[in-house]
Amino acid sequence: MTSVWPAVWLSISLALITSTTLLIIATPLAWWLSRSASKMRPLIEAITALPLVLPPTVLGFYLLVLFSPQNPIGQAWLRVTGETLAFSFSGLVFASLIYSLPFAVQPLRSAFQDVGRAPLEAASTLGANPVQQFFYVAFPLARKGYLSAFVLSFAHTLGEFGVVLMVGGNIPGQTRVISIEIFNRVETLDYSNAHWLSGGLLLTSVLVLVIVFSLQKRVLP
Amino acid sequence: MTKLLSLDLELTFGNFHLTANEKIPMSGVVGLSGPSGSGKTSLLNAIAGLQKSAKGTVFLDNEPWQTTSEFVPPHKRGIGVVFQEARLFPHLNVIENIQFGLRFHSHKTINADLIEALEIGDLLKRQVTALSGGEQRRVALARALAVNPQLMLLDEPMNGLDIERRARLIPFFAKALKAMECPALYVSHDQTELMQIADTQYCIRDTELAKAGRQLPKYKFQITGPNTGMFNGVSFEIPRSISGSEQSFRVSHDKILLTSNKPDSLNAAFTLEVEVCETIEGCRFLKVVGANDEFNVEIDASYQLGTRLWLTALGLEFCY
Repeated sequence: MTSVWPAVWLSISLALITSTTLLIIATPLAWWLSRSASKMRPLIEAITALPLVLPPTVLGFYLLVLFSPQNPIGQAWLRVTGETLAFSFSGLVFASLIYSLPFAVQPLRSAFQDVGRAPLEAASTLGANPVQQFFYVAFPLARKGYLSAFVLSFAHTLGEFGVVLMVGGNIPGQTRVISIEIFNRVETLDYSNAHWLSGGLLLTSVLVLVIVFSLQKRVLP
Repeated sequence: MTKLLSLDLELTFGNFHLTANEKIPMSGVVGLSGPSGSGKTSLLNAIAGLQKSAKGTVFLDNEPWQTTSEFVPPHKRGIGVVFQEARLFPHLNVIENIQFGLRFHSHKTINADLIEALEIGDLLKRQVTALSGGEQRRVALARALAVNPQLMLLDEPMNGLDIERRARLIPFFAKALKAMECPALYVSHDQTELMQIADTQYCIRDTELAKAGRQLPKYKFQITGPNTGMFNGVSFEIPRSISGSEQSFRVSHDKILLTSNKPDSLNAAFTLEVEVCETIEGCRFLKVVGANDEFNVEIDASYQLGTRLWLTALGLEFCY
C-alpha cells in the first residue's frame, strides 16, 4: 500500500499557492465591484460567481478545451514552458484559481463595501494618494475580509474534486490531490486510509468555518 | 498673509442648483451658513476636491485647484478637512490618527501647541472608539491641523452634539485654529455657533453664495412665537422686525431670559444691556443701552423705570 502523504502535501501546496495568488488577483476585482456604478458590473459579477453554480465537470471541460495545444492559450503555454497545461500541476493551479475565485472575491468585496468612501476621503484630505489610501486605510480596515478570503479559498481548493479530475487526472505526485486519493482508496476498499483522509478534511473544514464565523461582526439580537 | 479663495462654481444635481461666484479673503475663521439642503456641504466638498461633478474654477491665490482643463486631487491641495462625523480611523489610536498625515508631508513633527490648545494630551494612547463625541471632534481637528494645511475646511464639525457640548467645544476650535494660524472656512446652519467663532460670514441665499451683509449686527432681531406671551415676567407683542437692518435674526420668545445681573451662560447667542423705558401712553418697553434699537416688549409694571436689565437670547435662527 502506497503512502497517502504525497497527496496531502500536493493538496496543501496547491491550496496555498491558489489562495495566496487569489488574494492578489481578487483585490482589484473586488475593489472595482464594490465601487463601480458601471452597467457592466452585474455581468462581471455574474461571471465571477459562475463557479459557484456551474457543475465542476462543465468548468473542467471548458478549461480542458482552453488548455488544449490547439487553443492559443494552451499553445502559448506549451511554447514557453515546453509542457502542456492539461494534466499538470500548473494546469491545476489555473483551474483552482478560477474555481475558487468567488470565495476570495465575495469576502473582499463586502469588506471593501463596509470600509466605504468616508475614511478614504479623510485620508485623501490628509495627503494620501489613492495607492496610499488603499494600503494605509482600506487594507487594514478590510483585514478580516482578507483572512476570510484566504481561509475560504484555501478550504475550497482543498476540497475540489470534479475540476481536478477533469483537468488534472490522477497522476501521483502531480495531480493526485486528497479528494482524488480518497476516491482511489474507496475504490480499492482501503477504508482505513479513506477514513483518515476524510476525517482530516472534515476537521479542517470545521476549523475553517469556525475561523470565518468568529471573524464576522457580532450582531446583537 | 491673507489668501484669496476665488470661486466660480456651478453645482447641479437633479433639481438642485447652486452658484458660487465669490472671492473670499481667507483670514481667521470665515463662516458659511445657509438653510439645510442649500448645498453648504457640497460647496465645501467642491473646494476640497471631493465633489468632482462641480463645474467651474477654484483658485487659492494663484494656485489653480480646478479649472476647465485641470483638476488637482484633494491630496495635493494642502487642505485640512473636519467632516460632520469625525471620520477617525478606527484601526489607529488617537496619536496614530493625529500623525497619519505626517508621512505624506515634509514636516514630521506635531506642534505641541496644537495638543495643548485642544487639551488632548491625556487621550493620545486611547482607542478612538473609546472617545466621547466631543473628544472625537477635537482629535479630528488635531489630525487635520497636524499637517499644517494652508486652508482648513470644517463641515458642521459640531453636528450631532448637544448645545452644551457645542458651547464647550467652540472655544477649543477657535483657540487651535488661532494657535496654528490656519485660515478656516466653517460651515454651519447654527447662527449661534458662527457668531461665536466666525470673523466674517458668507451665506447661501436663494441658490447663490453671497457675503453676509456687513459685520453681523448682534441686536437686530425679531421675536417669534405666539402674538402675545409671557416669559420671565416679560410679555411680548410680536413679531416685529427691527427696521433698517439688512440682516435679521429670529429669537423664539421662550429663548429669552431677563436677569438683573449679567449672566455668564455659555449657551447665550448674545447678551444685551437694556433699560426699562416708558411710552407717552405709559406703556413700558425695553431699549438697548447705547443704541437706537428698541424692542416692542411690554414689561411688567413691577419693573422700575430706568432699571438696567440684562436680556439674554439662548438661541438664534438666521433670517433670510
